[in-house]
Formats: sequence, structure tokens, C-alpha cells
Amino acid sequence: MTQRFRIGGGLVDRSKTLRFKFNGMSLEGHTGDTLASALLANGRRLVGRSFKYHRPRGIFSAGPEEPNALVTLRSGSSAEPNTRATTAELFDGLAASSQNHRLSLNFDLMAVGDFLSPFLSAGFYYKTFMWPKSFWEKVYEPAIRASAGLGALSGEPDPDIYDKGFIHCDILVVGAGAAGLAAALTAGKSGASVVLADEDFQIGGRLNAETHTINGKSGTAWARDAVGELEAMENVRIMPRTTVYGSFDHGVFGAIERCTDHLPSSNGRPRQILWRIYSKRSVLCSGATERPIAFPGNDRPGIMLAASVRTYANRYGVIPGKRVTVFTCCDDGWRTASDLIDKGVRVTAVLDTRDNVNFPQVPGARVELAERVVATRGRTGLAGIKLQRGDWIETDCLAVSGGWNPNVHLSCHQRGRPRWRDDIAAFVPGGSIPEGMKIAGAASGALTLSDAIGQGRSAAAEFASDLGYRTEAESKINASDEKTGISAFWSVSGAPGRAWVDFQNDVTVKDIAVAAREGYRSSEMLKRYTTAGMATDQGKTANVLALALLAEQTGKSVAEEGTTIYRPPYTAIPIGALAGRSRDKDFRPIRYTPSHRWAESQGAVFVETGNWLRAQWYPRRGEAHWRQSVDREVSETRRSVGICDVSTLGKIEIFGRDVGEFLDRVYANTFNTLAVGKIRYGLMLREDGIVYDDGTTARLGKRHFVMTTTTANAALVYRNLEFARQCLWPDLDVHLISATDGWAQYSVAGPNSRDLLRKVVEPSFDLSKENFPFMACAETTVFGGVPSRLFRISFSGELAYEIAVPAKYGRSMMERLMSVGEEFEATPYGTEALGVMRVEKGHFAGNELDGRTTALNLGLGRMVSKKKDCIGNVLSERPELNRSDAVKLSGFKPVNRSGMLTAGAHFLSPGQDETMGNDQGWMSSVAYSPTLGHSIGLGFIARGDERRGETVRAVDLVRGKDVDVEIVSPHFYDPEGVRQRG
Amino acid sequence: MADPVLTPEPFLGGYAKKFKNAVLSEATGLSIVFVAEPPDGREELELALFEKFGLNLPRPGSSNLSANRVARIVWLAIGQYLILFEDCKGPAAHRVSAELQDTAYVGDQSDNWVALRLSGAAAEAALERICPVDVAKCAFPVGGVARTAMEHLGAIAIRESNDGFLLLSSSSSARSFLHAVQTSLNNVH
Repeated sequence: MTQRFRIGGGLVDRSKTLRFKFNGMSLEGHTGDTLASALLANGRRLVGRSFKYHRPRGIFSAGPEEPNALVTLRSGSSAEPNTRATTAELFDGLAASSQNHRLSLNFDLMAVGDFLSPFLSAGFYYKTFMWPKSFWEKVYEPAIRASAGLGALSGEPDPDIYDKGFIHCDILVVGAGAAGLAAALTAGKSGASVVLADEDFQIGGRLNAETHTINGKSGTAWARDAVGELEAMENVRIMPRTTVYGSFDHGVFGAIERCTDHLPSSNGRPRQILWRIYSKRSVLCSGATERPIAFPGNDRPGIMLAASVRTYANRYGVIPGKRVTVFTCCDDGWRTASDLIDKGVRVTAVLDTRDNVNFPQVPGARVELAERVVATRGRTGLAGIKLQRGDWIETDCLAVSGGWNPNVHLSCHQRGRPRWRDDIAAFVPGGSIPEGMKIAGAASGALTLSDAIGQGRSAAAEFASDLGYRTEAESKINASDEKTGISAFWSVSGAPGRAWVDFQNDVTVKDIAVAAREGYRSSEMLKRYTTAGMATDQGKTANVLALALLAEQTGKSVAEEGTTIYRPPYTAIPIGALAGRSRDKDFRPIRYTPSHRWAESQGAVFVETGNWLRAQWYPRRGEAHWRQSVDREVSETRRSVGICDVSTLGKIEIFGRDVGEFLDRVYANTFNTLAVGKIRYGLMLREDGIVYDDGTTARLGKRHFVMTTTTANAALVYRNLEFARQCLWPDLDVHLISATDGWAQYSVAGPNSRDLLRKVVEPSFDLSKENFPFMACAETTVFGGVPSRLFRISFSGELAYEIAVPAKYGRSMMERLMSVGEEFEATPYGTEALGVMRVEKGHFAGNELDGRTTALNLGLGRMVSKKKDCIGNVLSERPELNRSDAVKLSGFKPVNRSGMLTAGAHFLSPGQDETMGNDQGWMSSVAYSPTLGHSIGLGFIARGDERRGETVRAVDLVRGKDVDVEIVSPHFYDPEGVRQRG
Repeated sequence: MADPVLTPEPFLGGYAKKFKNAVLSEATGLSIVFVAEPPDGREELELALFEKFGLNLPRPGSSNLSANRVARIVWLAIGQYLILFEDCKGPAAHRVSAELQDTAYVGDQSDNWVALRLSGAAAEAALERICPVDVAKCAFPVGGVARTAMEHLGAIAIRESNDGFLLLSSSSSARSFLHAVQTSLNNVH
């Protein structure tokens, strides 16, 4: 098929022919084409079906505002649905297909919906399909969803890679049309660092689409020269194919750069990059978007925006039709007629809604003033239009211009509301503009070329000067000062047939009238009720038209009606780009303990604990179930000695003269009496008196302490301590630094732990009970000189130590510990065995510190010292937290010892109904105790400390379990602590 | 007493790789010492640091290299610094503590950090993908220091030369940090 609608001129490179496919048909275009321009060059007018009624739709515009020409690019896992053909850059081998039809694009079975349109008006789903009720979810909604829609995702993983990044600049210029280029040149020459971003692949904006001249040369040539000049400046970064999609606080903008979308393959490079641009100032030169006029049958393929028609002719050398008619309410429509005639295209007629227009010469065209289009015909493409006076004009392309809407979006993303200007019949930026932003060119409502360039220069010069850069006087620009007259005209009334407002969501003038009649009379309600402006084009061509029509219905002016809130993104951003690199295993960082590789070599099973990977258990040959491994690890530890990697515990080094006082204020219990070489257990409260973390602090020197926290709360505790140090009590001499990653730390637990460690620490170090008792600490060395910290603490209830070495020795340390432990049959144990032993011993952990429990609930009420103040102390005294029937941490044993307990079960008295009112507490942790030979649990039950020996039910409605349990002490194992103090 | 053997292991195994226009390697010989000022003790600390190590206290956001280029002091927070020693023999913290005595609180930080050296023409572009801080030379000159986050990981970036950076991040997530920088280098080519 030849490009029979290709004419001379334009910016495409005719020496380079590109082959592409649309719905399987082979077609040709040129470098510089978009998919839309290439389709039009080949005479393809029908390119898709509408969302709701499956109406035939064609290319409507030449930019990101396109509501109709949505296609799926590529195929298989690389398929990308809902791509605008008007912005998709053509490349050799591109394959595109149309969307939302059954059978073929030309004959869509689902188009039957169009005949049902009287029943499918705005909000139809709120009013219909009400009976039978059960059918809505199972029949009606699935049927509606199946018939309406856009393209489909492949359902396969995206094979491309995406990236993100951060750019900093003095001045960001958004949009590289005449205003943007002028701004960038002025700013760049001043020496400021400048980023110039434009969504198009061809820098120049509408200069590339018009026939304007600047200083005697074509706009295109001026833009090309400007780019050349900017490229020579080291302080200027030009970013084509980059859409600035959002304006955020403090001069931060979001932008998406399409790096390889225009290439057949990404070839290992990121396909798109999501940039965060930090600017000190910004100049918004985002131009304007033409809007349509609503009239019956205005959605047929071949009916297009007038400026887009001349864009195709001027920039791409393509004519969308061979008998073009123009329908306009402003001077701009006439420019399309003039440009087409200059290119030898036949313009059949120009229809202007105004009755008094000083129009230019349009040779060969019929001119009608005060005229309207009242009907159109042509099944899959426009064939003719009917005038209000009754006669028909044979035409295959109707170029419609309803005026221009400045692209105010980025100026409104921080809740700014644009203001209405009657002289151009459009909203322009107004109200609160983002700090440090100026708007120049058409985006500000300056619709002539000379104004655009002047505004761009002046905004950039002022900003450059603000930032301390010197700007030179600019040479005079001699540019077109085109006519911009307009008399707002929104829709043709009084004619039968549906007139479309939002093409993508199939919203009509009648829908808006229905909404207003039914009480949806504000712009925000109109949007939600009719879905106008809620499609993927975000109503770029529809919104203002819909608001104006609502204003007509409600008797307000457009200015009074106002707009809806503008929100980012300006154009759709692929989820892949938002995710960037954060996918699969790189979704988040992974933290490894220093001896992780050793654990791997032992076949350990790992569990994620926050970002950490921790060994959960170490299976041995012959063990078929995790419980076998865990039971063995517990038993062996209690029998002889076990070694557990506890490097993940938070470690905070605290220095200073006032650390004791500081700790007194952050811990509930007293710390300023802690002696050097000793450790104390501590509870930390939130401001509201609830316990949020527990741990130990060791005093290694007069002014040096080391705090340990739970793994989960390491960062939170550190952050809270820093806040306390810096903001609450800056007068205290306290310095903090995290040491969590610096030390590989191992719990060595069990009756033989002391004997094992005697083979590890320096020979002169006396590990005897008398010299190094429970809760002692020391700095020493291991294995002949490696610095080490030794803590005599126990989480298992056994005689136990925690020994730490610099992290780089971690793997070697674990290997050596196991090696010297061979004579004691030392066993490594994981977090499961750790958990079993702490439940046996009655130590609480994260399950018990669930953000609801106080020290009193935990049985540690007396730890909240009343001799001093601390964070949370006052609010811990609230009466509700100190009720006589408060829940208390207790142990639970199944009455029938073979019964298995479940965490999450709630406690009820025998015979009580399972209601909230009868709930007495909950089971927080359970374990099978190989030491006791049955299941055990920790939990909270009302007055639990007074009810030892009582039997209650542990009811787990989720798992359908109801077990009789005996309330016992939480300390199942060695309640007197003889073993750990041994 | 067991054999007196414990073998230190670099967090990334001494990683080193050449990329197009960049070199990335693990700095394995670095000793890092935390130094904090006692109240009203800045002058004494300043004197002691200069006398013992030839170091001047840096301003916020910067670092100073000793005259013999073996130590760099990095501003960390108000009254807090890191001193970085190249190929230090023995535990650097002990030495610093002994030299500074009561003029500072001293702690060993060496094993908290994995250190990556990134240099070459592509270094800035690679960092631009993961580092929110402006690393352009005009904004981040040689000696500049920034505490920041890269790919959800806390990090300290130090500009050591016109095209060279030292990057510090938590040693436990060293592999993720390396992956982040490697990916950036791959993506900018």
C-alpha cells in the first residue's frame, strides 16, 4: 500500500522508509513520523473502538491529548496497551493493533451496544440492573466489564528494565516550544544550570507544526538553531521524549524519560527513567491544547482538531483527507484552511459560528458565517456533514476548532485553581502558583508567537537574576503576532443526535444535561457521575467543554463553575516506570549476618525478619520435618551447648558524661546506678505509657555504654534516642552511633557454654561465676587477639553468654566456635529454637509487645520507677491502664497434654458463648516444648497472676479450635533462674 | 586454648570491576573511627587532632585530608566525626583513643560500613540514578560529604577527587548496595 495521503514538505526524512504493521497489515512510513501520521499517510482513518458504545473512532489530535487512537504496541510480554498513536514514534518493525473490539475493527460485534445507548446514559449502572439483586455481582457487572474497556495486559512479566534518578538544576524549563526555547536560551546564557524537558522527540513544540517565521527564518529552523546553541552550553541539559508529569513541593518535579520506546529493542538499556527533578526555579512553557465543539455525530473518524490537521500537513507532510472542511469559532481555525490551501489541499468549506469575522482569503473554499454542523454521515469514516441551513457538504475530513486551553496542569498540582479569561475564552494559571514557578507562552494564555518568546525570555531573565546570574540584553525578535480572536462556542444545540464531549469515556452533551438535572451540579460531582475527564487522556480535550456545558445547564458563567482539581500525573505513567528497579528480588535490600554463608553451607532454612535473613533452623540428615530439627536444637542446647547467631539485634554505642541520666529518661527503670562491667535489662515506653521495646544496656566504661534492642525495633529505638538527644535534652552530654552492623554476635547457651568459651577467650580472662556472674560484661579478645565483647545474658534460661567480634570475623568466628565446640557436641540453633526456649523460659518478645501492652500487663509493673521521670511514665498511670482486672502475662498448658495450642486464640470461661463480651484475653505465643513434652503458650488474661491453676478455654474461631487450658506461671522452665545464674 | 586463628573477610570479597568509563571496587583496607566532642571541648579536640594526626576539623558537609593523605576526617553530625584511615595497622580506634585521650569519645566503626570506591567519567551519571544529593562538582566539590540514602539504604558519599567517590553504607546490606551501584553503572552505558 502506498502512502497515498502523503504530500510534500514536512520534517520527516523521506530517504528513510520504515516498515510497520497495523492489525497485521504491512504499511510504510518515514523517520520522523508518529504511528498516527504514518497511519494517516496510508489512509487509515478507523483506528479503534470507543470505550462504552464501541463506536468507530479515528485519530483526533496530534499529541498527548488524543482520546481515540489508543493502540497496543508490540506483542507478547512486551505488549503495551493504551498507547497513543499520536505520540508513538514510528520505528522499523513496529507492530500495533487496535483495541476493544470483537471480530474485526471494521465489524465489531460489540457495537450492538451503540443501539442500546438510550439505556446506557450517565449513571445507568446506578439505576438499572437492580433486580434480581444477586445478579449484579455475578451477571450484570461481569457483562458490563467485558463489553467496555481498553487494551489488555499480557499478564506476563515485563521483560524491560526501568530506572529512576535525581536531577538538580537552577532553572527547569518545561516544554521546548518557542517560549521554552527562548527561556532556556536566556537562562543558559546567564550561566545558570538549566534543564529543558519536552515530551516530543522533535524539539520545537508548535514551531514544528506551524508556518510561522522568526527573524525571517522558519520557526522550525529557528528551533533547530536554538537547540544547536543550547547543546553547546555545558550548563544546559536538553531532555527530549521527557514528560514532566507532576509538580510537587519545594520545586520538585516528576518526569518520565522514554529512552528506548522509539527503538525496536531496549537492548539491555532502561526503557524508561522516572526522574525526580529538583529545581530552584521553573518556567512552565507547556503550551495549549485545542478543544473541540460538540455537535451531533462529532465522533466519526475524519473529524479532528483543526490545529492537528495542519500539524499533520506541516510537520509530517500528511493530509488527513482530500476534501477538508473547517468548522471553527475562532481565528485559529482559519489558519488551518490557509495552510492546507497553501499546500494544495482542497478545502471544501470554512464554517465559522461567528457572524462578523474579518477572514483571510481561502481560495476555492465555500465560506459560511454564523453556521453550524448539525449532523454527519459515514459508517467508519466521515463522508459528509449537514449544515444548520439544511444542505450537506461532501467531505472526508472536518477540522474543528473550539479555541485553545492553556496547559495549566503543572501550575495547579499544588491545589492551585486556574482563572477564567473571557478574551481568550479559556482558563489560565491563577490563584496560588507553585513557589518559584513562572508560566510563559501559550500556557499562560499568551497565544501569539511574539508574546510567547517575550514571556519566556523575561521569566528566565528574572529567575537567573534572582539566583545571582547576570543576563545580557537580548537581541530583538521579529516574530509573527497572529490573530487570536474567539467567540466561545461550546455545542450545537437544537439538533437531534448524540454530541460527544469526552470521546474516550463516551460522555455526551445529553449525559451532562442528565447529570445537572439529577442534581450533580458541581464540577467535581459531574466528573464522577458522568466519568467525563476520568479516562486515560484525563479529559484534556473534554474537561473545559464539559464544565462550560454544565455552566450552561446551571445558569452560571464558566468562571463561576470553575474546574476540577488538577492532580499528577499529567499523562499516564507505566507502573513499570513507577516500580523502577524495585522488582523481584531487588524489591528491597537484603541484610545478611556476617556468618550467613556459613549458615548456608550448613543447609540452614532462612526466614525474613524485616530486611534481615536469619537462620530459622538447621536441618540434619534424616530430619523430615522442621519440628524434628527445632526439637533437637532445643534439647541439645539444654543438654550441652548451642550457638545462635544474634547479630541482628540492634546495637547502639552511647558515649558521654550524662549517659546514665539519659538512660534513666528513656528507660522505665533506673540505669544511672549501673556499674562499669555490668548489664541491666530495660523497658522502653512510648509517650502513652505502652511498652514498645525491651533490651539490655551494658556499661563498658565510665562514659561508654552499649544498648541492645530487638531486631525489629533497632531503627525505631535509635531514631527515638536521637530525637531525645537532639531535641528533648540537648543539654545532656550524650553521643550515639549505631553499631548493629559492626559486630557479629553469637549466643552461646547451655550448661557447657562456659567450658566452650574458655577455649575461645583469652586465657587470662576469668569466666568463673564469681568473677563474671550473670549480667556481667567485658571487653576481651578471642582466638589469640581479635577484639571481642562478652556479655553474660540469657534469653534461653540456660547458663549463657553473648560474644561479639568485629563483623569481618563473623564467618570465621562461627566456624571456630563450632570447631572448638565439637568436644561438647555444640549445635547451631536458629530463631525457631530461640523462640521455643524463650517461651519455655517465659520471656516476652514481639508477639507480646504488640502496641497494646503495658509493663503492668507484662508483669513488670514495678519496673516503671516512680523515683524518676521517664518517657511514658506519666501516661502509664492512667486509670484505664491500671484496672484491677487488667490482663496479665501468664503461661498456658493444655489440660489434655496432647492438645496443640494456637496463637491468636481467645480465652473464655467454660460454657461461655464466643462473644466479645465474654473475651478474657488472648494467646500471644505458642510452642511445642520438647523439654516439657507438650504444647505451651504465653498469653494475656484478666487477673492472670491471681488465677494460677484455673482452667479456661482457648478458643480459636479462625482455625476452629477449642482447647481447655490451665493458667500457669509464664516461667515454665527453671522458674528460679538457677541455671542461668549458674 | 584453640588455634589463634580468625580470618577477616571483606564484606564483598574484595570486589573490583572495570565498567565502561568507570571503575568500582571495595575499599577493604579502611579503618573507620567515630569521634565525638565532649561539651565545650571543640578547641581541645581541634588541637589534638591536628597535633596527633594532622587533621583539621571539617565544616558541615565536608571532609579534610591529613597532610600525609593517610587519614580523612569526615563531618558526620554536630560534634561528631568519622576518621578514615587507609591500610591502618592494628585497631585504629585504640590508637585514636590513646592519642586523643579525654578530648574525645572514640568508637570503632570499621565493620559497620562497606566502602565502595567509584571513579571515572561515568561516576556522576551513575550516582545520579540512586543518590538524591546533587553530586555535580559545582555543588559537591572535592572533599564534599553527604549523608543520604541510596535505594533505601543509608549511605555516606564523599567526593575524593574530580571523578572519584567513596561510598559508605551498612555492611549487612553490602550486597544490595553493590548491586545498586553496579546497576547504575550498567544503566548509564
